Amino acid sequence: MGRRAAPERRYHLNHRVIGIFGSMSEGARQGAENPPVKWLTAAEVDSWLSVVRLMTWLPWSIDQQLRRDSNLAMVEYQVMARLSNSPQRTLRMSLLADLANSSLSRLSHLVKRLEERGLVRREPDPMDGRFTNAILTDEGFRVLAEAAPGHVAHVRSLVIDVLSPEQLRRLGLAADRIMSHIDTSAIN
Amino acid sequence: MSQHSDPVTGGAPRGADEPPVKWLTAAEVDSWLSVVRLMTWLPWSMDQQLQRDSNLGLVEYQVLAMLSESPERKMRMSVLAEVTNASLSRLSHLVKRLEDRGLVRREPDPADGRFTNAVLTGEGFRVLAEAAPGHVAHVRSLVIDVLSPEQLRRLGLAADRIMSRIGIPGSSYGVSGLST
Repeated sequence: MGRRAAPERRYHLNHRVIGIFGSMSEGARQGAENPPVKWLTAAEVDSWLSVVRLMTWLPWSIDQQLRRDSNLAMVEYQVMARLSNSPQRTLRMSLLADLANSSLSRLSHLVKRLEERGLVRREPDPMDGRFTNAILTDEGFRVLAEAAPGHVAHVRSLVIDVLSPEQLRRLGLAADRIMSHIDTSAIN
Repeated sequence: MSQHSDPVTGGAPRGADEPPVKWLTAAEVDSWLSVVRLMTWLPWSMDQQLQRDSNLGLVEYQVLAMLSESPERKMRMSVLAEVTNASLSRLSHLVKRLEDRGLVRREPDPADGRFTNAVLTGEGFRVLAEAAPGHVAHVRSLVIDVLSPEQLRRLGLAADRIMSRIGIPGSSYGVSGLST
């Protein structure tokens, strides 16, 4: 994937465009009865828009590489990777849904597609038949292991190798801090 | 270089003719998975708040916001599609829904009828302006106010650095006549 000058233009546009919410005066849009809105400063807007661009384009790029080279969507890769790391390569569907940020019904569709490709199978939890387990098959493990080197190389080239170890560590810490404020309980 | 037995990040057997894989170290894996979680959940949370309080999806909000600051509150559909990272057909559906709600209208570009423009309506601007305070408060509570100014600045810089490595297709963007 080549590097292009285009994103610079995009940055500029986005910046200008969404800047409205950092610079718009309170008086212009707030009735007297509303609490004052604490709009973002210009520096905050800049940083936030950088995060927004990252959220928009990084998952897209990761997904592109996996689809092109391994015929897997990013979320499919994530599901299989989770399974491969679990005891007996098995996880309850409900737990997997939490991890993959998907509703149980969306996950069911996704796992069904993987099942049709022979990469995953589903069976009732032997401990409690009300639950369904997803299990990574040997073929699934093989496909995952084949996909991993290209995925890792891509992650390296976009993220790991463009930051110093300290920058990467700080990025992870900032992400953790933000995550700790996100209430993920409403997913289902 | 550190070898992991974890197929997310490494350990797959490789043929002798293949170049060695530079697997991630444990610390790198930790940081990367933190970024992955953020990419997964932050957009979801932004979307939840907007859906709940303003009946708008995150991308819908972004589209309205971009139109609101464009000259004459209008943009070519093709440019909107690139900026929002939506395919033109997906964007068409999205804009159609906004159009059905009276927030946006579409019209042929007067300068070149082969193109279609999306235009923010007065009602669309009103809805956007109503949605903005809650959106900003949510961004504040999740991101801005949980980091020090320096941490936030560094986060933005790291994001920029990563973005500079992502090749984005449709580089026609740069020559599409969009002057900012």
